Formats: sequence, structure tokens, C-alpha cells
Amino acid sequence: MPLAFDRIRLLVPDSVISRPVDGITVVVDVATGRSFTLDEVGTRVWELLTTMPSAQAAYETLLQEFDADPSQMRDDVERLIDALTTNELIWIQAI
Amino acid sequence: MSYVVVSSHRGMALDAGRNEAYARALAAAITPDSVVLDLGAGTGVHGLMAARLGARRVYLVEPEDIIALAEENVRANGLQDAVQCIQGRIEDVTLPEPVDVIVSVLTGNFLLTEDLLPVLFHARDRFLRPGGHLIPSAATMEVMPVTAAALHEREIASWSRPQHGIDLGAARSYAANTLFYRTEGFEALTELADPALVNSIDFHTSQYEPLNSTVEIVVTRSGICHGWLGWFSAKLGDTWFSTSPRAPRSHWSLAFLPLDPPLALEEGERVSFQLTRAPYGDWLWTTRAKAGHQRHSTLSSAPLKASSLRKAALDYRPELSDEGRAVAHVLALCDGGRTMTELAQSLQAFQPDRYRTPAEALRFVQIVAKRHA
Repeated sequence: MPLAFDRIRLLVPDSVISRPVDGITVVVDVATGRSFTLDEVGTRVWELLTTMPSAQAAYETLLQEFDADPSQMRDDVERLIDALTTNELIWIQAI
Repeated sequence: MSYVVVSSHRGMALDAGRNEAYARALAAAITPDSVVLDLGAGTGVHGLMAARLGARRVYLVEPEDIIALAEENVRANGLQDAVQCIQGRIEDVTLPEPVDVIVSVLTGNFLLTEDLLPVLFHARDRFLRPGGHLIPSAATMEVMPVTAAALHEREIASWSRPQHGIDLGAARSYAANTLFYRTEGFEALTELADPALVNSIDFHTSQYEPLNSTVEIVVTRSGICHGWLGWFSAKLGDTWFSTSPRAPRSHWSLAFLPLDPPLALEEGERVSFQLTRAPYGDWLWTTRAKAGHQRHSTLSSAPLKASSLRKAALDYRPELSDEGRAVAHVLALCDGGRTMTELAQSLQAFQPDRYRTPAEALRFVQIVAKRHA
């Protein structure tokens, strides 16, 4: 079932830190050692998902910034959220 | 740290206070029937103490060539009948019998640095008899906030001072995320609270687990907090040997976990401190005080290029570099039938632009062979 972007926001656990370098970003859970590397687009998605009040707001901002098909963009954002939650690098909070 | 050269062992082998504590613990544990493993033996000082105390058999196990010095020490002390030196990683070694005592110095600075404890736990699980002794048998980690103006100035703030008009300030954030180890220079520190326990490990029962500990301390003296001091204590027999700033200095270093900018703390204030580290991973220390909330991590202590970072990505598809191809070429020829000279000749023919002389090729082959063959 697709995520209801307007009903969730993403939280970064205390033990997770991100380090941007030249446009890409490594996200590490220092408590577990799990890490994830984001490319340039993933870095922007991470920035928005972790700072905006909802996943929907992040998604809409991405649509404005990138010339991308909305459904494709939604799929890409969902995949990234899925990968990050699988690695416990973000938490999903209902709003 | 290299444990190959003798000078790196001087501070440890000749640490009289530490050795006295180990000697007392050994004396309480050793009987004429004891079989002892000195794990990571180095110069062999503790294993030789055990032999001198009358242990029936002592195994000194050490992966580095420093074991040759331990062998000399065995002979010099006339303990050849009781002591056997074995070079190798404990994971690769097979002892002929279980042991009654494992003595080790696998407690790194601030306990976890160098990630040595898994070696001890491996040896414990494979070789220690039920009811046997571990020396040390437990350890704790403690922290406390300190005023450390000179230390902070030297290690961190000094980067903000231009050198001959050149701005080097970009380094400051890396320095502020560095965990510093020092054996000296802590005399000028002022303690702002009592020590707080952040970790406790029973070596008999523990596995090597991630550390994620939060403590709340009460400030006992108002002052500028430049960071946290960290140290460990080890249980040797029935007594605790502390490496705290209040104890006599030992070869172990205190750890300094900086804050930047420094935070003003008020007497009576409650301050939260969280310390996080996965095995073999980076440190993260988080401070929550009235004056501010700071997170620092050794993950951000060194400059990185994106090209290096990409190599950590799960979808990265690595290709061999020129050096990687050279290593692979040499290793493929290490079949026991070729001399170092022949390997070097082959390498030079394989990469003539990279190895322009036989000596350059030979030097590389020697490095590869020493490490892998």
C-alpha cells in the first residue's frame, strides 16, 4: 500500500548523523554502524524529508525543483523512505 | 598504534603501577596447577610473572614479531620449561589444553579504542575452563565535564587564528569532532561535576555490544565546559585499577571529547550526556545543557572526498586500481615456487611505467608478501 505522504513525517534517530560531501551524503547510525550513501538527488530528498513538516511537503517541493513525472517521483521517494526505514536510519511518525 | 617496535611497548611493559596491580591479581589466581594464557603478550611481562609465581604452564600468544623479544625474556629469566611462546592471532591459534587464567591488556584507551575486547572474548569462549580467572575480569567507563581552556585552545580554537594571513579555520570543525587522547597536560583541568558511569562490562559474560548510554549529571561547580573527560577502570583480581584523572598516571591516555563552542554550566544544573558507539565504529557524544545542545562525532573528524565516500555505498561496483592490479598480480604468483626476485621481475614487466627499477618492484613485492604470504 502506498504511503500517505500527507499523514507522515520523517524523524532522524538521535544516534543517526549525516555527512554531506561534495553533493553526496553518507548517513550513519553510530549506534549500529549501519550506513547509507545518497547520491546528489538522494541528498536533496534526504534534506527535505528530514526538515519539512510532512513527507507531502517534501514531495511537492521536489516536484517543483525537478522536472520529473509525479508518479515516478513518488515511487522514488517511497523507495528511499523504505530503504532508510529498513536500515533504521529514519523513523516514520504519524501526523 | 604499531606494536612491532620495542619503543611502543616501553610505556606498557615498564608501567610499574599497572604491573603491580597485575602482579597482585596474578598472585591471587595462580596455583601450581595453573595453566595460563597471556593474550596479546607483547614483551611477555605478565605471562612471565605467572610463571615466576609457579604456574604449571604459560602460553604467550602474540601476533607481532615482538614475540621474539618475549622469547628472549623467557630465556633471560630461565623460564623455558614453563613458558611456550606462540606467534599468531588467537583466532588462528590452537592451544593444546584449556587454561585456568587468561591475563591480557586488551583494554584500549577509554576502553573501546582499538576494539581489542573481541579478541579477549574469543579466547575466553574457546580456551577458558569453567570457573577460570580473567585478569582483568570487568571494566567500567566514566566521564565528567571539565574546564580545559588551554587544551581546547591548543587543539581546536587555534585553528581559527590565521597563519601569516592564511585562513585555516576550515579545520576547526574537524578538530571539534575529534576524540583526543592524552597522557599529559591535564593538570590545568577543573572538574565541573562528579564522574558518571556510562558503561560497565563483565568480561566473563559479555559479548562485544554497541554502546548507547545516556547519563544525567549535576554540575557541582559553575564554569565554562570545554568538553568531557573519559576514562576506564579495570577489575584486576579483587581491586579496581583506575585510569581516571584522580588516579596516578598510567600508560593509558585520558580521552577528551570536546565541545565547540564551549558551554557555560551553572552549579546545580542538570546536564545530559549521551555516548554512542557501535563496535569498530565512530564515537558520537551529545550534550544537552541550558546553554545549548551539541552533537559531535568522529565521523566528521577527518576530511573526505566524495570519491572516497561513494566507495562505501552499497551499490558501488568497485574496479581494481593500478595498485590493486599490482597486488593481484603478485598474489597470483605466490605459489611457493617463485623467489621474491622473480616476483619483482614479473611485476616490473607487468607494470613497467609504475615500477621503473627492479628495486621499486622488489620493495612493493616485499610489502605484499609480508602482509599476505
